[in-house]
Amino acid sequence: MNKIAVLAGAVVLLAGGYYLGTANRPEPTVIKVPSTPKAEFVSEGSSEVAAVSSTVSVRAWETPTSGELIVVKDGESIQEAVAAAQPGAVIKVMPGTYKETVYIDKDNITLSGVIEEGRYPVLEGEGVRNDAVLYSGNGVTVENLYITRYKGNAIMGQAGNNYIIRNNIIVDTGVYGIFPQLGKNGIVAHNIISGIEDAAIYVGMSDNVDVVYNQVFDSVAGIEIENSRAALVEGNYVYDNTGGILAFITPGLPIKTCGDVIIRNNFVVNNNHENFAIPGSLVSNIPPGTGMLIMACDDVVLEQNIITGNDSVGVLFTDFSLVTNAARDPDADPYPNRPKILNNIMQDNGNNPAPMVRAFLATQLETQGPDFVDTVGMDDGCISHPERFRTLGLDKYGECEFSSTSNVLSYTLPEPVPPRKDEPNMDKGKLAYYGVCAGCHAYSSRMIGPPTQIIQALYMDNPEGIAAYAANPVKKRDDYPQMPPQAHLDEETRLAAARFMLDLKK
Amino acid sequence: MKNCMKTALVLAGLVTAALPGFAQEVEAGKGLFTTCVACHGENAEGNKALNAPRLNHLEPVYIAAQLDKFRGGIRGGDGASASARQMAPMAAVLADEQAVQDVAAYIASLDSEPSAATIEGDTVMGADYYNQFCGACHGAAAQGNLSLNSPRLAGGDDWYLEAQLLAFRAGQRGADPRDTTGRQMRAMAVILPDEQAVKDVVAFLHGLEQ
Repeated sequence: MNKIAVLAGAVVLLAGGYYLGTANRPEPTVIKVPSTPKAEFVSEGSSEVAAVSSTVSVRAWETPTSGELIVVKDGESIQEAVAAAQPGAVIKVMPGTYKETVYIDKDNITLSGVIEEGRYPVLEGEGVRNDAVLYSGNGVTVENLYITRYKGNAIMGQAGNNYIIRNNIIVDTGVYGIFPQLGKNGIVAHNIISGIEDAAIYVGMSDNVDVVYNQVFDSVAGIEIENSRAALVEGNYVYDNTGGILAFITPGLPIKTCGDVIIRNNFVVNNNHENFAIPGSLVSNIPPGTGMLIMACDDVVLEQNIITGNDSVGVLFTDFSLVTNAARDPDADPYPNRPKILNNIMQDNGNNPAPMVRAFLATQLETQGPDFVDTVGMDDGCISHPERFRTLGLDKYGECEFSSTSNVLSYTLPEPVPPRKDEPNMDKGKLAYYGVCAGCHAYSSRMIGPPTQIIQALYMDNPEGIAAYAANPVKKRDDYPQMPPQAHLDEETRLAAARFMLDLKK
Repeated sequence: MKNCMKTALVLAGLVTAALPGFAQEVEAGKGLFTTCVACHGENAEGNKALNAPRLNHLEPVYIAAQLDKFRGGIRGGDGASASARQMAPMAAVLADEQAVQDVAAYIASLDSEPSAATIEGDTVMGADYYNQFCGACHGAAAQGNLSLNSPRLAGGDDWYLEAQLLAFRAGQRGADPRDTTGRQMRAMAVILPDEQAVKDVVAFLHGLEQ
């Protein structure tokens, strides 16, 4: 062995070590005292709300009522009351047990439980019924119900706008707890939800929604904002889930964007639950111990959340590759953009990372999960007080131009918005596909149901076959849940949705 | 897994001796299968050199369905690959539907080890593609799904699975308007973005527990 070569090698190693040593030395903390106030926070949602709000009103609107009152007593049917009701009716449900599925296809219906000394009206699915409450009407309120042991949804909105879902207790109801799909202008507030194998609160393809003051635990995904815009997630207590709060794009859904999401003043604590999602489904990829997950969603603001005890990572910003590289959607940007991290309170995150997070950390020579991880390495993000946190991949983040979103009181609009069906280019089939089918079927990726592309291959030029199957599905796949019957949709609607589904190209 | 199924079948055969159908078919199929041995091998284990795939891992109903397609000119006709066109006249040797049932039952009663891997691919990507696009019909473990007419893929030769995916993509298979299930498969095969993805899926399938 040549001694000179050995010596040269040693010098290189020494120099390398010195370089690594200096490269890893943290920047000295810069102490700053602001001399002038920062700019006011502005977003598309804040401008939209400000333009129509002449006075301060925060979620002050209610479902319009006509004076019609229907009281449902134990032993009677809620659905019969809905059938008898006119728009504007208030349906009061007395304490008792109701073993049924309620479908509201009328506008301005208030479905309201009566609570007596802690006794609720209980909607009981007995492990066999799919959904407790479905609504497609606009201006629907669902409140004060105790919903348990359904297989599909506790409360699902199917393209209803101006909805209020509040003060409900939802225990072990299968795939989704509260699921407003394709709704504009809605409030999800003061609900207690647990034991959901996908998302406890799932805001899908929606706009202008406030998800506030809910208690969400023992579920796979706590609160999920998906392919939605102008969402305010505030003051929620989110704990013991696999992942706490999520904002993301599912590739292959017909609405392709996610953005303008304010997540503030939430308690995101000990979200370390074992992942019990259906294997292969999108949320089955969430690493246990994830406080927040922002996947491909743009302009997400994180402000004054208390994020503690999440064993993998406090907040994870990432792209589609977390869940799939195979499912592609050329029309959806797979990367998150412009994250805005204001002050948040972080403690004890990353103490016992899940295996996939541990493997990622190993590539960074780390073992403890950070408070914030950006696997993309975005260059358009901002963070206040970066020195306070253990971060990975935030090197290119700058200083935020605003210090608070307190000027945004709500992302809901003070006046009701028109129904979806009145939107241009919205026909019956499209509305049903967007509002109902896309809850479980994405075009090119696996959600709860098989991708639309597979259904197209199986049915080809046979929409009647889809419409008939959807009315009365049978279990065909042992690793997918059985499809819930869609017989509440009339035959014409089912057929129109099937035709739309077969013609879809993305 | 395969052995368990075989044991179960044997046991079922013993128990259901009073039900003569299946056992009789197997016995009758044995004689018919002698025509097939030259290419597919004594145990239907397959022979890559002759482009003859392993068959004994498949369900009888699927083997019979494909034989019927070959016999009816729905598979292996004009525009099909050379090996499929070779198979068509061989299938036509079977005299009637009973012969098809018999030989299918006999093939399914055979056993062999899966063939060695010949295709390299990214099995992680393959698993991802499979989960997104294939598993909904062929099953999470590629065990097949009779209610969707989807054959078992686990245990198949990787070279054959690749060749068939490529044939579907090229329109050599699944293009005949009478081939309903083939057309379904063709529609899915073309979704894979490129031939590397085909290799990835096939490599993943071959790595599954057989």
